[in-house]
Amino acid sequence: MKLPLLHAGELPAGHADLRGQVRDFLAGESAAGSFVPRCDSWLAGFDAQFSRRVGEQGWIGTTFPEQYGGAGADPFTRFVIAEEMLAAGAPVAAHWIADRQSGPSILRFGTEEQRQRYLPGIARGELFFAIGMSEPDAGSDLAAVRTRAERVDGGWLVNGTKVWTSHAHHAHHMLTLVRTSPADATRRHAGLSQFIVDLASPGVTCNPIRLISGAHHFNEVVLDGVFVGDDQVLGTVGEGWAQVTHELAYERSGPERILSTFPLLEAARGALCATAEGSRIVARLTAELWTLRAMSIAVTAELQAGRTPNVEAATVKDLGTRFERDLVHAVAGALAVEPDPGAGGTLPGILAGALLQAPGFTLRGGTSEILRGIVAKAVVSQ
Amino acid sequence: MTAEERQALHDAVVDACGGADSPGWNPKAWKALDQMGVTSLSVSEAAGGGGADLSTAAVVLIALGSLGVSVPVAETGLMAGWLMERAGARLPEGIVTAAIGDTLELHPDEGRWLVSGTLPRVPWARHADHAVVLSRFESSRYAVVVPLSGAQLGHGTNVAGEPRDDVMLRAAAVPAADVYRLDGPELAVDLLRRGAFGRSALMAGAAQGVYAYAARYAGERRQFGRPLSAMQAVQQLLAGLAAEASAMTVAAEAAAAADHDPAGSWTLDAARIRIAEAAGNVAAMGHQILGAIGFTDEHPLHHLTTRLWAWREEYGNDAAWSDRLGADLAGEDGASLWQRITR
Repeated sequence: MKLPLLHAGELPAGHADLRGQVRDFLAGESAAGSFVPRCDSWLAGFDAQFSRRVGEQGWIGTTFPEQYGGAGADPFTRFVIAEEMLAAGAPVAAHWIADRQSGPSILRFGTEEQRQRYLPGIARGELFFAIGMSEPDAGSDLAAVRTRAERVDGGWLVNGTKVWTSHAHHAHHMLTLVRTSPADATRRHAGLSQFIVDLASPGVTCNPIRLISGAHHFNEVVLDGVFVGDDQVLGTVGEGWAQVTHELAYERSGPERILSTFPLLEAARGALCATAEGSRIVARLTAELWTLRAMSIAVTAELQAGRTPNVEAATVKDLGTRFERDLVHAVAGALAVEPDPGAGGTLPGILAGALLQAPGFTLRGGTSEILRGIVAKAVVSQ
Repeated sequence: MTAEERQALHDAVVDACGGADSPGWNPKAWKALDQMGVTSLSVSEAAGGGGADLSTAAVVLIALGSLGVSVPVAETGLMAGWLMERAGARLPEGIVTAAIGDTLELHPDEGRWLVSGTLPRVPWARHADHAVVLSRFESSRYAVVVPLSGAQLGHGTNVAGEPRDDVMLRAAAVPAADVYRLDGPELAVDLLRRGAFGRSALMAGAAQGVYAYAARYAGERRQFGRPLSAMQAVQQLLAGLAAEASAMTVAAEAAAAADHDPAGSWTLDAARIRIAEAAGNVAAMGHQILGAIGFTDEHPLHHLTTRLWAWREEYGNDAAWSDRLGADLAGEDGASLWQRITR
């Protein structure tokens, strides 16, 4: 019996220079007033100009091969860049999805023509993607998607509605999961395909869905007879499910599943350490974060070794996102500070932003309950 | 160490212990482990050990913890051996425990020292041949190799039944050659930290053991016509156990790996805090899944859960280590918290 269990891996040496360069860059941006630290900056910090400057540094799509605008770097290179950006609370939302997910999917499943069309723009920080998965009746149960594509001359006609789609109103394309064959109750995961939908196409409407903070990150994306050419089909028609689940370990175990609220802890440390109780809280949260980071590194090492640690990644996301949320409440409880949504960049403002973003952490990318189900099935099957 | 090497050492330790649960003092396991050379694996070769690093020692301790086998490997290898290394001397043969004896009275007396006072709750004292005690005389630190044969003991145990005996010394004579003056700051904290880390690794192992019992039981036990593991509420608990066992294992291993870096000693404290926090949850989830049978003496689960409860409080509890780490992280060195975490 070999139960799922994660062992420590090592962040390879040799990234210290890169880490220093990213820190210098961020210090320069911060000094120039281009951003103030905020929590959940990979969703709430959308700044196309900032992303372009990050792209100029060569820090988006770093893992892409050089002919597509990347540096052919290993996953740890991306890990270091990503965690430095998040820890600083920098506004990385514009390029985040393309860098993490859409770009790597196009690299893996796309045609040569698609790679050349999309990847260099992603790496420059100019081409942004949204994720077209969730629908009104398909949240955690993704196989229930009903957006359907009909075969027409030279491509497909797509009809349906995607919801909770982050930054679709800014993004250029949406990697969209659609039904290309009628639903089959006995094979629920069959008949799905991935399309690269140009959001400027006729028939696409983005309606804002405001979050509890009032902010506009989410959208309802209505696809009304949208034409998608054959050259915008990603991978194989009918293989959409296998394609979307392929990148799950990358999606679920990265630094953005543990660091979303770290800027609050950094900002509050001084005030917390002024009391014995507060300094104990700093110690406990730091111990937890250090452990989670080691787990995230361990999953990255597994990926690097060519394995697919989906169960371990689910564990990291479950623990990591719970930590992101609990950090907010632990810090709030120990500070004599009222959260103030109007005070961006200050402790009351960072706290307010963290509180209002926190309910999403344990939902997006697979709810905690679904993740635990995945882990439990793997445990029991041993 | 590669994953294969780690697994091979883990399996060798489990095999040496007979692969069985072994409550109470286990002299057969000790003998087998001693012959393998793993009781002093992380002690330098000059001090009579195996010269391995803390990561290797952690593998041994995790394996021992997963069985709940009662042997003082942490005391002998991590603590006493480390003190003898500091003393530039060799670890005594046999079973060696360790203690901090700041309240002992030491008197130099013509080629020997006379030692008086009580060492409270010394692990496995009744089975040990020697205790290496970190004490002080005037303003200096000393390591004293106290022979335990003939010492007066007040027997006690922890909640797992492991011996934790008071050692009462009344002008006990120790040859001057067995008393070593030590240099260096923070020796007592460093010794405590090594003891605490030993417990961390053992707890990570015990959590793996609880997880294994729970996974097996949830698959086998049927109620309402189906295995417990088919129930979503039980699945949530199983996933929780898997997560905590992984977190504890990774924390212990990552802290051990950072030990060679002087800036990394805080990670031993961080691991200890995270692991101590998980220990109670793991024991609770394990007992919840195993139901009434796990609450009885006949099921071996309690050998692990009682150890988790006991070990969590030994060599400094969660509050003590949190206070220390909190002070360490207060930022007085001018570094951001993030710089500390990534250093």
